[in-house]
Amino acid sequence: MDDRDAIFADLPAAGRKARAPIAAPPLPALTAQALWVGFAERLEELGGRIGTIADLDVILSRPHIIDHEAAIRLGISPGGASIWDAEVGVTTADLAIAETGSLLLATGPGRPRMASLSPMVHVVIVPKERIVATMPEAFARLSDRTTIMITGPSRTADIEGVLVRGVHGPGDLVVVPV
Amino acid sequence: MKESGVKHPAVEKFARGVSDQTRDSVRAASIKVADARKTTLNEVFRDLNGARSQAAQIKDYVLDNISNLLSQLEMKCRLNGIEVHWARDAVSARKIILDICKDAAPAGSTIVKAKSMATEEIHLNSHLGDAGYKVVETDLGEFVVQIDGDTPSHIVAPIIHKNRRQVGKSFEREGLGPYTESPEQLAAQARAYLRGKFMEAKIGISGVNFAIAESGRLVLVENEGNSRLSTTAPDTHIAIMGLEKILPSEADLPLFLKLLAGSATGQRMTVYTHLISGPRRRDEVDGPKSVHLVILDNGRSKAINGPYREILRCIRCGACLNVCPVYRQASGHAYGNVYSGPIGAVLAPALQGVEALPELAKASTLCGSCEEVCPVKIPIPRMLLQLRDEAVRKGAHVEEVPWALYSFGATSGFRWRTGIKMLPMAKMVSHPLKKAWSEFRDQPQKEGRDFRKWWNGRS
Repeated sequence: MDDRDAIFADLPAAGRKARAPIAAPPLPALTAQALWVGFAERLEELGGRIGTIADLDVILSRPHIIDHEAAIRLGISPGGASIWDAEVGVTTADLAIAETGSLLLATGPGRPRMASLSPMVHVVIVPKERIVATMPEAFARLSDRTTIMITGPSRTADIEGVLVRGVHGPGDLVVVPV
Repeated sequence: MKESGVKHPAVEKFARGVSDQTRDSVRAASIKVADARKTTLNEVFRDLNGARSQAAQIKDYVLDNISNLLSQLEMKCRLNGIEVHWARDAVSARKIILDICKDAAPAGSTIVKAKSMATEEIHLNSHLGDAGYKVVETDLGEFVVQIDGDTPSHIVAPIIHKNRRQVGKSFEREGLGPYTESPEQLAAQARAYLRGKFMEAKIGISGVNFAIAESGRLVLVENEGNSRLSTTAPDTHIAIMGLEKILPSEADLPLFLKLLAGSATGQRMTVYTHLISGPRRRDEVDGPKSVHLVILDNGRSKAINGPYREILRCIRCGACLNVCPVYRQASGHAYGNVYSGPIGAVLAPALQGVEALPELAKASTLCGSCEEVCPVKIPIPRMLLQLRDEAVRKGAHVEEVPWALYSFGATSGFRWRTGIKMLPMAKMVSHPLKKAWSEFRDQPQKEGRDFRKWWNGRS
């Protein structure tokens, strides 16, 4: 008997209880503008910040930016160094979630995983209409691709419970609604 | 690992050896997180009790339908390009993982690891190390544990028992940078050092927080980014999960993600929630080229049919540790097991059999705090009582003889009176049994007048 058969032989065979339905509490309908106010509040609590196009220009004037798929495919950033040396990653989010200040980013062509992960600064561009109130609404719209949900800058509290930002992922998270 | 040290660890015996520094660190940190948990969860949920009941119901549904859900998960994962492996025990899981590693990279290669209780449970690191691989823990806390040759003392906060000075000295000793007591600088030193490991590793190993049966997606949550790096940068990603870590659908995720983040660290949401739908696709430029899922039994299928079934609802948040008066005094190492605290005192014997760990269930005051904070309402105190009862019935209980003696003496008036009169003489007697009994108990001192004399002499 292989391991799979051995495990299934021990497990209870058939279901006994019916599935409990998930009750979603009713929510007031909010405009995108109101949702962005809530989102910004949460993001700032987490140590992230809302940026503007003007901020974007300043950030993008720095060297070693990964924002081009081609550069990543070649393992280089436009500055000529390894992708690991990039200081800023620029991405576009699929959705912003107001209740938690979270961002959903699916992988795909032109949407590398490392851009939101390796650099110390992560700039996320989000079209203003792409915001929902709650996480269940966002999850109902998940793509079948590997997806990352980001809620604030990278952090740890492993040493004496002291909050430190940017331990492995980006310590500076800038969200630019456009 | 600790298990090899003491076979029947008496938590109280260990607790006596815990330094004031360790106790202070554990107390301060656990109280802080327990407070944050309460505040956050009551903000996030209008009806926290209802949310916990709902989560418990969903986990019970999973346990009731586990065969079907596991089959569904297996099929959906394969459709997503995730290779599924089944491991009945730790030996089997280690062999499966070692075989995958050998295919992926030669011995001597670096393996980066994200924090995972399942890998602790099967003692994976030492096994891969023996086979010649350089396994590097990348979670900050787990990294400190590894370079110190220590073991984690908390499910969520592995170095809750250490302070910043100890971490600073360890980093200085390992050549990570000049001595510092600044958590920011220590984190920066770890970031710089571990970057090199992520860059050179061909294999990344992680646990799984939730596996979604309906979509075949693996969900990993973390705050630092090391789990994402471990499962993104190397060409091969191996994920290991206990077979109960399943959720029926993605619609169940928001509830569990919120309960886990709030219960574990008092956050509204964990920073990174990684929903893995398989290896890198043709049109993608990064991500692992192969993803393996190892589904571990190791006592779980037997536990599902037994009296401690509800313990498999556990989502490893560690909230029960933070509120436990015994844990706060004794710290996690006292439990002598990978899973510490109230949850460990039930989970470890439930998986390994009460005969293997008859003492662990006594490491509790039965105050009930653990059940009050549990996000999936596991009746831990009831199970601890049941485990104590089982240990007695199976004769694995060292206190049987003293209690039998007491019962003999107390059930006859003559024997009781004689015994009481003889009690002062007991001080002169030395016996190993007496020593074992009184090691952690104060000998009562006779004070004041004799009640019987007074009663008989009153007019």
